Amino acid sequence: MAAGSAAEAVRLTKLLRPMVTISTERHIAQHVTRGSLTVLSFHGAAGFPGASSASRTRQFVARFLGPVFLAGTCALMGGCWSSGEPGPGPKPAVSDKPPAATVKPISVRLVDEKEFRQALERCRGSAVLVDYWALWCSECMQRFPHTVWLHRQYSDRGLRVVSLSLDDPSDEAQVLKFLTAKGADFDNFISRYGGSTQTIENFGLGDGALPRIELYDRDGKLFKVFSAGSFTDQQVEEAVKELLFKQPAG
Amino acid sequence: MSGKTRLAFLAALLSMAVATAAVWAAGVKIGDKAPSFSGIIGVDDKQHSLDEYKDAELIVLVFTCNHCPVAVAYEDRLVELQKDYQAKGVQVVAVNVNNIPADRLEKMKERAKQKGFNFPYLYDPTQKMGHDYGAKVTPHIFVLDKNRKIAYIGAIDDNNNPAKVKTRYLRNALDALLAGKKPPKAETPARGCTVKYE
Repeated sequence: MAAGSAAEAVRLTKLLRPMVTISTERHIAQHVTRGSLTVLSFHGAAGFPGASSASRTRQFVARFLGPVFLAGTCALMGGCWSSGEPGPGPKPAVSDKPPAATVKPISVRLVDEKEFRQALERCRGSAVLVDYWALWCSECMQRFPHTVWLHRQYSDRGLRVVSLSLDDPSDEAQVLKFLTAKGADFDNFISRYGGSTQTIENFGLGDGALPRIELYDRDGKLFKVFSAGSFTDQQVEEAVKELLFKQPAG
Repeated sequence: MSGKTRLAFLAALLSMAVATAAVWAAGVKIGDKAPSFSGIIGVDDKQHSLDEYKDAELIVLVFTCNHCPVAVAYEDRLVELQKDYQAKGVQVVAVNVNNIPADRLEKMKERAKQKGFNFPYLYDPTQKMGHDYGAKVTPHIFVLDKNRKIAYIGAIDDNNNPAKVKTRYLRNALDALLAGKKPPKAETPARGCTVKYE
């Protein structure tokens, strides 16, 4: 058994990938409906968790003065992004070029739910994708490059990306290593409470199953939740496109 | 949008809602009768059934697996729990329903031996048990009371990191049930890797 274990490992690795794909695809339909129910039951139209009445003014601004003004506001407040990424304002027409990911230092910060909500609030005026993941969630790690790709592809169209790791704060170095390896040049956070009930409850993560991706519209309203693990990269991208390019109401 | 299109759209929405309800109907709730099982192979190569544990006061059914780091993080805690509650008539029964290579029976046998599992570790490749109980993640706990009704669903405790645990939900539930009381918290959010349903 031991002598053949290396060969077996190779064989198992080859076997594993197609199996995961098959099982994912078989359950797409089932979990799409499950995902939409999650939206209704856990979040309703509540907006960012903890959205306050103080933010109504900004909602007004967002609706009537448009995202360009808000980008300026964000910049004055220190930016949506600790990495200093420019806001979604008018840009020179070099959109095909990926952002200068290689020169940006990638960082991660410990947050509680309040600090996390504040970070999301500061991104009003932009569509926001939140990727909840953990080093203990292999599917999350497999999916993560797609989140990075979405950010590169759509950041100049107004998509902002935020990640929250549910790893233990003592694993910060490994989390940063992973984020750096994947080129995650957006705002990255780790829950102060790590992989715990407190994280799930305080951050409002439904049934707690990872991977989980949430999309918020420019007014900070929850647009879509992908959870329970059985969704495809393509579905997430479609939703991002829908969010970014849908006609403004009225 | 024409009236007809709108109607078709509504019909589609409605059928989605029905499908969703069907998905959510799967699995057990607190107070439900525990779904039975039999003929489930264990790492001891024997067939196991729910009836086999009929003398146990309480059964702690744990959906777990080999590959998941969260499940692994809880292995020692489960061994310890079985040791501490053996004399009180609590029986831990672990079951894996994942079919990915790292989680198959041979691997389960290796893991059970390495970690010295002091409870049965069963393999249900049909995944029926997972569907019957509604196991979503590994580890996912279901406590069956003396009448084999579901008395607790959720996590083992509140933190994957054993050094940071504040509330031991499962032990609290067992203590309450053994004392003839209701668990202080009958349901907690289970954390872990998703069960790999096919």
